[in-house]
Amino acid sequence: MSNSYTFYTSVEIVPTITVTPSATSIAKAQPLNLTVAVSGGGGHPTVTGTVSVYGGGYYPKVVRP
Amino acid sequence: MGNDLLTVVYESDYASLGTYTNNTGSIPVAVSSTQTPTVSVTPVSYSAIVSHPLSVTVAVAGAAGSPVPTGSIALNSGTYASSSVAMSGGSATIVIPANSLAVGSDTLAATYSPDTAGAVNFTGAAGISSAVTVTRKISTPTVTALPNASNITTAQALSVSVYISGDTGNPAPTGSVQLSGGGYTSATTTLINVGAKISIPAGSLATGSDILTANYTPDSNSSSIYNSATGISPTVTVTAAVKATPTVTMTPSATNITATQALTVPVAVSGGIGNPAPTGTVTLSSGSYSAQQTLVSGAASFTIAGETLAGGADTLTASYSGDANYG
Repeated sequence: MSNSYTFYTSVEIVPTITVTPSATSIAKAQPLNLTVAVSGGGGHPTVTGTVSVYGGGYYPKVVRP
Repeated sequence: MGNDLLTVVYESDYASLGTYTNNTGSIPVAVSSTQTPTVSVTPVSYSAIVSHPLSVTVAVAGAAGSPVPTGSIALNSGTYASSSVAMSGGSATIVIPANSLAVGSDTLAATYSPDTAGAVNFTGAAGISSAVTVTRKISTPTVTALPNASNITTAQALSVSVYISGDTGNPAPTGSVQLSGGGYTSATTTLINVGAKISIPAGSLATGSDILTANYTPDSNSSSIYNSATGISPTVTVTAAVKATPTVTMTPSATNITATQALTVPVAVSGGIGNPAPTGTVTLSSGSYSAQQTLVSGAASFTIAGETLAGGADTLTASYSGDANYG
């Protein structure tokens, strides 16, 4: 008699975050658009979840990609 | 302000849980307190006539999404400088007055000065237009010929004043005029202060109704501004003069002379009080003697040498040639 166990080991992927600003130098009165891309790499499923941005006194805003 | 670091945080949801880990990314962004806006200068046309006004719109704008700049603008080109004009909605329109721009290729330079509110976000700025071609409009001036009389005789001279009028705002016409008509053509006369006075000598115009034509020719200073032009005078009626008969008076120095004695004979030709002195010649004759002299102020003097006149009673005859006034 024997017992066997199958173990499924999942390795979580660290997604790549790419941030593309509309300008790298702006005036304080000037808005800034950021385009954020989160990618798991080739062959992996589309990354789902949320992204938020903060810094320079800007309050985070959560956006679902 | 300064260099800010923006951080992006990714958090997986239920669907990605187990597949993707949370992660962060960041990017530096330089933030300044003010920005230099763009100043655009747009004339209503890039081809302008120097004697016409030109409307120019100046627009001041920051980067996309920035507030509308407030303040004033001023416009310059060559020696022209506008006053400062307040903007509305980020722009202002300035009308450059006629004759303010130089003929040729001009650029229009605008200067933006922020007001207190505008200075919070914007610095001063300047902009220039593309080249504006400024030309003169070649116009045809008005030629006026005014005789000093509408009725003359052939014994009378006629004075004609000729005036050349250019467009308002253009320089005064310069050049020359020539007058013709009634069988007469004047010499070319140079304009002085846009006018010329031409005297037509007595007897130069044909009898009847004459119209005088004045022809203006611009000189090199005016040829790029004015065309040649023609004007006509009112009708001048010329009638044949009725010649008056002058009085011819001889006053010999003696009524009795010897054969060898010379005789002086002054001759006066008079048209009467108030009339012009006769001109022309007077001929003195007696027997085989004949001499002619030109009148000076209606007078001439003859000296008949001794041994000239025949012995006995001689008759001296003075004959006047006549002129334009006297027959």
